Amino acid sequence: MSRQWLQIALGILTAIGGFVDVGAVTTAGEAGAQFGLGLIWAMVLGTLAIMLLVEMSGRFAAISKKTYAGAIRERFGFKFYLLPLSAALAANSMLLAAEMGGVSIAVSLFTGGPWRRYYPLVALLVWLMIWRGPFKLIENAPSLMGLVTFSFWVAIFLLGVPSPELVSTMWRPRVEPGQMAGYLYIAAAMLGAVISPYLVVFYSSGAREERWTRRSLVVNRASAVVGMGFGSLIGIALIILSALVLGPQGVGANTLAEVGLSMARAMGPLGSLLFATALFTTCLGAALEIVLAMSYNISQGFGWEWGEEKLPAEAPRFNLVLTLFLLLAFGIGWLNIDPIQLTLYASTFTALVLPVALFPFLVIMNDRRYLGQLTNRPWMNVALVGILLMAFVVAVVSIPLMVLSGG
Amino acid sequence: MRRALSVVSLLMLSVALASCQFSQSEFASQAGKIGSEFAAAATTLRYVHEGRLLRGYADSSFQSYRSMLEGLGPQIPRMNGAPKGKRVERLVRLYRRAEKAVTHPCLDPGCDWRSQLRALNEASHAFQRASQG
Amino acid sequence: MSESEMLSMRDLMDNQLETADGRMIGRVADVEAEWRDGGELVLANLVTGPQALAGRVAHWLEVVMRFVFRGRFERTIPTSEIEGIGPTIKLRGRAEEYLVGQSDRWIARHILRYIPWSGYW
Repeated sequence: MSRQWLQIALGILTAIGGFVDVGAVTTAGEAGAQFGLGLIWAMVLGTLAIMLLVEMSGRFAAISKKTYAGAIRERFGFKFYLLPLSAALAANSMLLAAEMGGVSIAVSLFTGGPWRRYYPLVALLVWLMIWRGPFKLIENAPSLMGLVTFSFWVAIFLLGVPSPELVSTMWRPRVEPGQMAGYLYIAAAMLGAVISPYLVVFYSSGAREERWTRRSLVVNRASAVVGMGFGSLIGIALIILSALVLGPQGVGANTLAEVGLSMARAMGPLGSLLFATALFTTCLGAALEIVLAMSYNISQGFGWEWGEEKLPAEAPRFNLVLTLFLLLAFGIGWLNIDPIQLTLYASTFTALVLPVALFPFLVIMNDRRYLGQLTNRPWMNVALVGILLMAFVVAVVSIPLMVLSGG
Repeated sequence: MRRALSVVSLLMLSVALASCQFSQSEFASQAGKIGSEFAAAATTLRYVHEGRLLRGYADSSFQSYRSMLEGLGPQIPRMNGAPKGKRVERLVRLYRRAEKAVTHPCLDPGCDWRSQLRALNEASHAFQRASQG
Repeated sequence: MSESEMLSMRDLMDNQLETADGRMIGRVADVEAEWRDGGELVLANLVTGPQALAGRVAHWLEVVMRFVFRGRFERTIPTSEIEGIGPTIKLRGRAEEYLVGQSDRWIARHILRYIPWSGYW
């Protein structure tokens, strides 16, 4: 019994680590600074969606003993599989570059040196951790350190009660004329940042690495709901902090350093260090998960030996792919693009291809040959169709909005 | 497949056209960004001297602000929707003064950080007002 | 495999190939069937390789791949090697007994050994 509790606790930590990343920090910071609490709904909506998707992918892996990527190829054929694969490759390489940029900026916030100096070292650190680090370390070390993110709530507590005027922006957002495009654009980018397909691939592969069975379904549900819920609370905390401190001073949170100013306001130098630590660990955790997720995706789709627990020489193609993918992302980050800009591009692009990434769920999760009696219940299918419709709307509006809002 | 793609792109185009009225001119959005960066620089500067922020954090922040503002100054008068005459001259003048504070922020106790703070705040308010038209 | 079991294309195409020593060596890209004497159509080989895969996407891509690779990476596995079909296609032999199963080893020997800490032996 105690072992199961430990598993649940670890699952929750992993989920938090996967949820909060450079995309969540960026969009939450901008949302709070520019629109008060007026975009909390998008964070909540995205959280509900990713909870559902993560639960499904974990259940699928535990029951069918297959992974999501492998199942897409089996069920839809090789030609269709290329579609979500290439979408993931494009979105994830940008996102990985942005996460590594986030880690580098976090280091720079500690030392004061230019972040680009640390970027190669960060890429090397990511590669080393994946090359030889055991799965448990990758899963749990950043997540454990990610607990510092709870200091965001402490900061809100220290700052005192928000004014009724600010609270009311939660249901009556204050959007100046001419800012509508910007408002909707951040909403779309936030949904793209929170509903990350890489998380689904990573999670279902992790379930196979840890040999989940039917008995793991409790762990699965707990980590999906509680873990994503906690992650979302951290995102919401960042929105509130930015709304409390940055918005009133006219700071738009266009850089990551600005997001941390609210922590400095609440807790002094310690607060800014806590923010830098949180940024470092969550972005590092996400970077590790993205590299692995991409290599899982390709290896499972092509049927190659895969697994983080194995030595590189025991799963050579898997490890070769992850090294090459890391190099690709490193190259993208080395082009002189601001990490925040890159994050927004990646989140917008993720939003654009979300329907492609999520559509297979609808079919696979209702296939009795994979799931037996544990296929989706009707309400889950209704919710899934809802998510798909939302994803489609977001996909259609994201690019025009990005252009219009001058993003 | 091809038809689906064309339907989607048509939808995108109509969204773009429909939301044109919700969006700002180039000048308005850039002025908003400039105002926000100056406000961030002002806040950072103040926090350092109030002892809320460590030196390293501030150094790194100012590097980000500089890269966000890079090359924007000379473009202001040429931007689409920019004001003309005296108004834009004043904005450019305020920009130059504030930019100096961003390039060489006074983060140590010895120098006159208060006048830098005034320049940043003044420029930030002016640009944010200008962005709202 | 029991004689009476009926298989559908879905059990074969794109399914995972697993060797007797538990290694994942690839997925089925295509299948080959033969006319036998007496008019029997018999499934003969499972096919893997870039050309076969490209053929699944578009004909012109297969032509390009054939020009580039000239069949060098196309591998066939006779259906007699199949021990059973479940979540994966279980093969009778070990990974090194199949050409497609040797590619992992090739990459380890020719690339990964030059990268530190790869665990190459």
